[in-house]
Amino acid sequence: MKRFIPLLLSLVVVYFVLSGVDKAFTSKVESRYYPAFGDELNDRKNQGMALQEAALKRGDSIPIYGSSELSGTQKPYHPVTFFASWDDGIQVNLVGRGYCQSLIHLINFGALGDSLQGKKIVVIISPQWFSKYGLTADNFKMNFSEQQYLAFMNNTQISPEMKAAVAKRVQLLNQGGSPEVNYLSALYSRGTGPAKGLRLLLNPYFQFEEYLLSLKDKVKSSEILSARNPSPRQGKYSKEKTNWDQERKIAQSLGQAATTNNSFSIENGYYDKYIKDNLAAYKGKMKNDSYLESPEYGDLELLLKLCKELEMKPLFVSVPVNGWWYDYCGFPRNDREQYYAKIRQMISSYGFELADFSGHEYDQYFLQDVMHLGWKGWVDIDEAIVSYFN
Amino acid sequence: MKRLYPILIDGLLYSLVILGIMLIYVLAETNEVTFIYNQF
Repeated sequence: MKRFIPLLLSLVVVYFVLSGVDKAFTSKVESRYYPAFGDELNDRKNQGMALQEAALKRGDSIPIYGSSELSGTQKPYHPVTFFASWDDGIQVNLVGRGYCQSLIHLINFGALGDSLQGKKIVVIISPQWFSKYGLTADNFKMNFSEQQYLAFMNNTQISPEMKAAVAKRVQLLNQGGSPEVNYLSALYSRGTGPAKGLRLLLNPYFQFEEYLLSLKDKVKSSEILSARNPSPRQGKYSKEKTNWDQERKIAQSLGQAATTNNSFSIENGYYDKYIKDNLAAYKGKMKNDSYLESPEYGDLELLLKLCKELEMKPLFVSVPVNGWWYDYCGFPRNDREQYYAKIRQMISSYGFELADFSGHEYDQYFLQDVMHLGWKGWVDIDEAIVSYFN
Repeated sequence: MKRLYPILIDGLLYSLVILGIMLIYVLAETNEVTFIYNQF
């Protein structure tokens, strides 16, 4: 017994040291955080929790969760550029990057738990998420966060059914990924007596792992913030002066000037880089594609359920595709219409708000290329954000 | 009191070892950890 006394003593010392370090870094991140950090698309922010929690705690920025459309922050009507001001009370906080789809966002929301309760957020949904195979394993692993997943599974606010459903999806998509994640997923998805027992037995281990990852996240987040030098900026938006119709006209002329080398209203640079040389090959290439059957619908359903469980107030944004381009590629128009209707139906069945822009497929300069929001699209979304948050 | 010294010293030594391992884990880049993990 005497032999174990130093070991017990060391555990007590480690506990107090870690608690102190954790508290110190939590307050460091909170004091170093500045609202304009929300403009940054940052992997630590996407896959960690400390930076998002610091922003949510301050409550002075609007969280926008989305995928690849969030990049291009230098565009004149992108919320980052348009709202860029510390005076008018609007600051967005971008979270996401390409292939951050329903499952990735829902794990993140579940991990943040309490911090998001009763909070208004924006979630941008893209039609391309709903391809036949949905999120692929490689794209999932690119954005998956073990820390968020452990926090999700350790969150007692989330129902066991939700955890089991998410665990099944993660088990499927995390092939070749962390064995610990796969083991935890297997324990949650089985739900049988022995699995439950093992889960309870291993719970302290997974909680400790989450704690260490969270500590690491705080240290890294603090480092990132200390390396930044925020300076005041001035955006175009003004609560009193902004005339949305006028902005749409300006956006129209900017779009017109930037799309002169093709008939699809695609930005010149994008067209030259990705389409011009292969134009003939694209004709009819998507004639067998569909957005009506996809595992992504199941993920979106889980996301909606979780938002209800956590009492969140999300504003969903339904983005259209470029109608001319999709017609050229042979993607059935009827299929697209059904997709938009399905999204409308799913979101309204949960009673959430939807900013539905599906009617803008043939609206010139609404998108900047075949799928990403462009000049007029961002104006409409900026307006929807302002009206939702005011 | 003197009898407690060895226990205290051992306790502190263990604490340093545990905290050292944790420090390496916390400060290491994710990629490096994955790299080390893959080696074994």
